[in-house]
Amino acid sequence: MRNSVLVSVWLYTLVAVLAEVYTSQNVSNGLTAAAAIIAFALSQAAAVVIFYMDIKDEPGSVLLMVLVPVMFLAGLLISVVASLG
Amino acid sequence: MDAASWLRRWITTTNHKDVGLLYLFTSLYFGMAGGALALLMRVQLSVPNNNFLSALYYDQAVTMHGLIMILWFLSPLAIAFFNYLVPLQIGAKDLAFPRLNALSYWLFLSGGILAITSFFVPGGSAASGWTTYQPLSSPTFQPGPGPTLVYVGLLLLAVSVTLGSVNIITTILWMRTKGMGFSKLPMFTWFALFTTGAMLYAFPTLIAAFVLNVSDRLLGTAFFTSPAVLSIPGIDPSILWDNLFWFFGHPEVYIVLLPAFGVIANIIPSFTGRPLSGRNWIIISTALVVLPLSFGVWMHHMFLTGIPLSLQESFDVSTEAISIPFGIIVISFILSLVRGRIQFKTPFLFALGAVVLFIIGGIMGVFLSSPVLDRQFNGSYFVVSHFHYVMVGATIFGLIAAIYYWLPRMTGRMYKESLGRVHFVISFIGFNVLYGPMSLLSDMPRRVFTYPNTGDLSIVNQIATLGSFIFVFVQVLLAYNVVHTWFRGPPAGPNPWGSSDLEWTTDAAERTPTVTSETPPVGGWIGQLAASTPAPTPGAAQVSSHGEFHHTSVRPFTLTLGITIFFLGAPFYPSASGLAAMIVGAAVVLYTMLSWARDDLGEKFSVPDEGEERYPFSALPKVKLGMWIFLSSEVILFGSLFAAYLFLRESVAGWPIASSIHDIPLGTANTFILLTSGFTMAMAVLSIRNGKQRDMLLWLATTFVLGSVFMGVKISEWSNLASGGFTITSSNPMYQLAGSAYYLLVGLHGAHVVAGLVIMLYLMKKTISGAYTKESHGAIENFGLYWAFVDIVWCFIFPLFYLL
Repeated sequence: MRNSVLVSVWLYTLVAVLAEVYTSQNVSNGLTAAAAIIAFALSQAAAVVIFYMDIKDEPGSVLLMVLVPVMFLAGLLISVVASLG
Repeated sequence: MDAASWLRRWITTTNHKDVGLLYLFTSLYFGMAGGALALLMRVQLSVPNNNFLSALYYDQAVTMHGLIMILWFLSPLAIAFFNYLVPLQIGAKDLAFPRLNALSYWLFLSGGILAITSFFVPGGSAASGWTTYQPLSSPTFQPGPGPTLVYVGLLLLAVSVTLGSVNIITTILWMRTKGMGFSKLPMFTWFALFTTGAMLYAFPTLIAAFVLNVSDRLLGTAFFTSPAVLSIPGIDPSILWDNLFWFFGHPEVYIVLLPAFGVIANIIPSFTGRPLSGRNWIIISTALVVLPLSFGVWMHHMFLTGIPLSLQESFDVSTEAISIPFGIIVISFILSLVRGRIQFKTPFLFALGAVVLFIIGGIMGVFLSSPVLDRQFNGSYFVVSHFHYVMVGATIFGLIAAIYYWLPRMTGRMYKESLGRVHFVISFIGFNVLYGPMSLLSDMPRRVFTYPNTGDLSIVNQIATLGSFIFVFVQVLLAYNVVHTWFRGPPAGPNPWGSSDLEWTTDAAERTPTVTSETPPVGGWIGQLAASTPAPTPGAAQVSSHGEFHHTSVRPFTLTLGITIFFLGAPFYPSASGLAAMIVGAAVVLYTMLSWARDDLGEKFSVPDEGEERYPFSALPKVKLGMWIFLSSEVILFGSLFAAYLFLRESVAGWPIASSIHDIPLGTANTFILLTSGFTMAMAVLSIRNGKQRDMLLWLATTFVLGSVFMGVKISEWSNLASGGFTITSSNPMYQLAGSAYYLLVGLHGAHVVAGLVIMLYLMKKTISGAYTKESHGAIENFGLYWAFVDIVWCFIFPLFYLL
């Protein structure tokens, strides 16, 4: 891992925050704005997991360990909201 | 051994066998307490219109019977065997994190003490059913300190189980002896891995649910029954509770059941003289049950709540699907019996009984997967019969089989076989007399304290009550057999069942010299239990002549003592005694944490890494693997709270606009600060990897400063919000609700930040003393993971609360 990579990730996370703020204040379609903001948040999280937490250098089984709860969580989130009808 | 030494030994032990014995006897005690409550209920129901118990006391008995039996008896009984046997079966000298293991036990005991204490405070215990449904478990319908003690106890128990899961999973994945690949892993250890895997992802949801519940009760948040919030059109927080509780609750069924299946799979070969049939199929099927399926069926508990039909159909299919892997497992068991030469010893009889009872209960469960039939059966004694056949019959019979099977391993002595067989026959009869008739009572509502004298309700209930007395009191035979074996049993020999598993073939040298019928008791009956492992010497880990680690620490006990005192006082706040208890408890916690850190700085407690089979985690240090496992459970914890937030937000129209509440530029700036601290922490890790200790210290200090600034800004932000009327007690119901969600989630994240800051102080202190080098800096790597996770959580909190 090089310094420049970490600096790039840091800058990206900051830019993504600005993009989220810009989207929330300038995109009038609520659903589109929400989708875009969540996408930015997911990309930030992915960048942190890949580069700060170095999951790219860990065994594939660690990636699986991370993905399993994320998968359960996705099921929970979708079903909980869907249970509203 | 004098009384003081005896007490010190058990309070300070971190040895896996000792902790296993503590779990074993404590869970059996809770089992007796839960069984006594069951007898009270059965006496009440033995005749129509009975007034032996009032409605309130009956409800409390029902509630605490369910909670104690499921959470403080069945699961911990399995954990007792995990503790004692898993390291032996995989050839490890202890669990991966011995102090964490002791802490898990004390938290489990603390939670149980809080729950039992609830009976002795004004108003009595919780009476909302073991599901603690909202709004029944809210302060509106369950006022008083008693229910709060129970729910706080549940919270501590859930934390205990989550920490225990991290420990056992890390042990199995990382500490296997040479040659102990997954293909050779004993079946009980396989099932321990599956069970703790399910615990790891299920219990954080329970933590999230009870964080909301206890927060309503102690902090006054408005998630469930604030009158103002309930006046908001469209809101129904009870559905939120159902979702969170059953996302935990249904996997919990398998968490309770699977250890018993592990016992059965482990001991069948010993009594049939043949390898288990379809071993790989059993493993694959159980993996299917644990990973995708057990977490995908919870809504079948909510068919009557009005959830959309499409969801009901989906969960109908997933619930029926889960019967397929269980069918494969049971068929494999049966095939193993058909092909073997069976010895009808007591452990085998109980294992066989467990399979039979599971088949009966499992078939009843298939009916309940249908939304149509569920409408008929739900809330009736048919359901009571079903889940007792599965959770009580299969599980208790399986775990009793474990007690008989491994008793010779624990004591070096053999139990009375004839008495064991009598115990099995009467237990099997008593169980079926108790729960069989209940399956006929599909028109009698459960959880109701009495019933009218109509039809044949009376006679069926009387038969069930008779069965309950038979089933409960015959357990005296088990107690007698265990105690007799421990003190008077004849020598069992090193491997009485002819098993090829490692626990029978290792450290026989430890047991054999102590195994004579003449061995006198040491310091009373439990003192003799202590003799199963040599007395440890305080201080650093020592290796005994047979290669087992012995180490002690009083910190897990004192930390839990402080937590217990704090939470015993919290429900009585703001009374002076309540406040005093909270202050004393907090002081004990603080002192213990400082002492714990001092122990580590002085390296007073260290356990050497061991284990040679680590595939597929060979490249990962032990603590780092543990950290990854822990963080994966944190994903579920925060995710469950996000799910709760989204549910509440989507269920009402007119949620407050974020920009009208929050200072967006300030929130954005604070987000920059936290994200920058994530960067500086990554730089700290990179620096020490390159051997630059001074740079690492600077980056770490910068991270500390940024984290502190983040918290400072956060506190000033909360102050501004509160002065602007955005509080959990606002007259605006929307503000109450939004405020509750905001302060709780951001507060929990803040608690993680504060914990991180404290750890950073410790790391900086160690760095200054030169503890970390290019070659040895695991703590920095592990903290880097934690701090990055804190960053990730904020990546979602910021947009959800400040922008959307």
